Amino acid sequence: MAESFTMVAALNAALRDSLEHDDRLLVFGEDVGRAGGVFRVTDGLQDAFGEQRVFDTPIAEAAIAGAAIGLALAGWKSVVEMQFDGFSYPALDQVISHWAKFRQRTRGRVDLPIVMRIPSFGGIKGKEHHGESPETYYVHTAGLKVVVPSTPLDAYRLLRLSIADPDPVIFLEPKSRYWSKEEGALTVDGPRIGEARVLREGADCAIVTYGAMVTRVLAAADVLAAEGVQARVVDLRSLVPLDLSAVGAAARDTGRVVVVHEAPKTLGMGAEIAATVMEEAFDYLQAPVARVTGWNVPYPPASLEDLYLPSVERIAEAARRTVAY
Amino acid sequence: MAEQTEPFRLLSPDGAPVGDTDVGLEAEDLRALLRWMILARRLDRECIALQRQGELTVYPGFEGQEAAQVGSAFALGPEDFVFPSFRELAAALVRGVDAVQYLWYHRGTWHGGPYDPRATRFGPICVPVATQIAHGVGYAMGLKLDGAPACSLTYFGDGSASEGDFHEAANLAAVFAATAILFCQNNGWAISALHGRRSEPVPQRRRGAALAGARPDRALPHLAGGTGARQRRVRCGVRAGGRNAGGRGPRRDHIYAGAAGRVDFRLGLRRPAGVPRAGAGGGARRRWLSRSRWWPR
Repeated sequence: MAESFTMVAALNAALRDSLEHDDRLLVFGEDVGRAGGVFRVTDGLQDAFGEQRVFDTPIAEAAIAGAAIGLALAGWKSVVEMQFDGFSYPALDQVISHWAKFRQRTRGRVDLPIVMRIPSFGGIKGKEHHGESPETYYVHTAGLKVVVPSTPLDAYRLLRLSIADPDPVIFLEPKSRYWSKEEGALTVDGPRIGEARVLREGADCAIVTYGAMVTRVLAAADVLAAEGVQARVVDLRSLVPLDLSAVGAAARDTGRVVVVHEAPKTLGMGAEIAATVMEEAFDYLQAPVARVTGWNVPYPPASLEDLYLPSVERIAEAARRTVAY
Repeated sequence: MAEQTEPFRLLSPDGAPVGDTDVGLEAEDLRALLRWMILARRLDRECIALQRQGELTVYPGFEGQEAAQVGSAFALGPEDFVFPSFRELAAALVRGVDAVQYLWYHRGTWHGGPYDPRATRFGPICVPVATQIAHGVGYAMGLKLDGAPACSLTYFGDGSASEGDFHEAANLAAVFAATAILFCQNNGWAISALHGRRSEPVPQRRRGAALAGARPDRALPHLAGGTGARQRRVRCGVRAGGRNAGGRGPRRDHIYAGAAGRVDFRLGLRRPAGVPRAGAGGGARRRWLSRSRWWPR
């Protein structure tokens, strides 16, 4: 029987294997060293690789992000952790003004091999500032790569690939999936950054999503299948670069597209996917592209979280309307 | 470095030596320092003129800050790395950055660092104030991990010290005992609450981050402060005292004219309040040099 991994264990293994593979790699951030991270993702790494390579920093996100640039110029690769999505914003100036622009500003001369890991999105009944969907800020900033794993094995693969990338990668970890399990082997083989994957085939409609919503979309696809509607499920994985061919193919093959994400609707990934579908496959469309998203409100308190996040029923209902259009 | 609040001087305003002026430099070095300062001032004035002619876009002048930049950059070794803000053309020259490539930035040809930051060990021009300080500290952290006998030197202005990034980066330098020199040039044009209206001046504030500090005055003390920081491999917060004669940016003609009368000539080249005299020589430094054993007779 194949071994089973939680996403936390898979991410920990990806960091461990990367640290072993590359002795110029550093892991640092708040409480990532001795404590092993709020979510235990860096557990045991300091013991294994020493305080030089896995270390705690002051609670100073801008300095953490800025120091990674100096370290890169000194020949070091960095994986930095922001403790929570809502606390990643102090680093935005460094990320937008420097990380994203550094290769262009140095005329391609300087690599910035930096990964920013951010436990992201809702679904854990967290306090305020602990359930944000910050992906649009990064996606909208040219010069960054943005990836979101949905399952443990893909989390391992994407993190290894992100660390090996010569450019900065924003790595958004769906914290509600941290304790989900998947059986199989940890490997970097498989889809690259920039490639989506089809998790379920179907000809009646395509549901495009990423992160924690993948699980709910798969559950909605089961509900729809029981009703005779076969939905293709596309896990984007990589928001930048976006797999235009996979999105275009899903639209051309089914003519009906639903996009699902936790972030508010306005200027979310759904808007980008809908526009991409228009550009890539307008003549194939049988129905308007539907968006099932969080609402345009601040992320709600725990007691209202279930009303905010797209539910299996909201997703299934949007697909039904799209198929019946 | 000893606790200091008064400027560290080797030269009085009238050109008389102050204390022990032997900073271990050869005559050739002293001539090179003066040459860089005169060259930098001449180039700075040319750039202001080019900006007025529309050949350059916004150009931040540095007249009055030549000594701070030349002295500090001159003190660095080849393995050290400079992280500039956007006003350090004089330091760039000393580090061997090609002036034409540097000015591609101000000509609007390319953003950031058109020159090769690795080859010159001079980071890209950095406009978001204070953000470069963490870069310098990070670089020094990397040096420490490698056990490299080198340092980073980061330039920033007095206004930058109001930004959170300054405090975060200074604290980071202290926490990791990084060999980072944080070099504050107070040119008198901080945006926008001026020096003295805010919390403690930088040399005092750096105590909060447990950094060593010095407040040098004129080029040789800059050099002495810089080499001292390097040789001792201490973390060093330095605040330079030069006043910028030209103001914050090129559009402030009224400030430029108004400031001319109260220029504090760190270079020792007194410029008349009227038309700038390009490449002017003489002044306190030359008088002092002519009295010293370094100046060729």
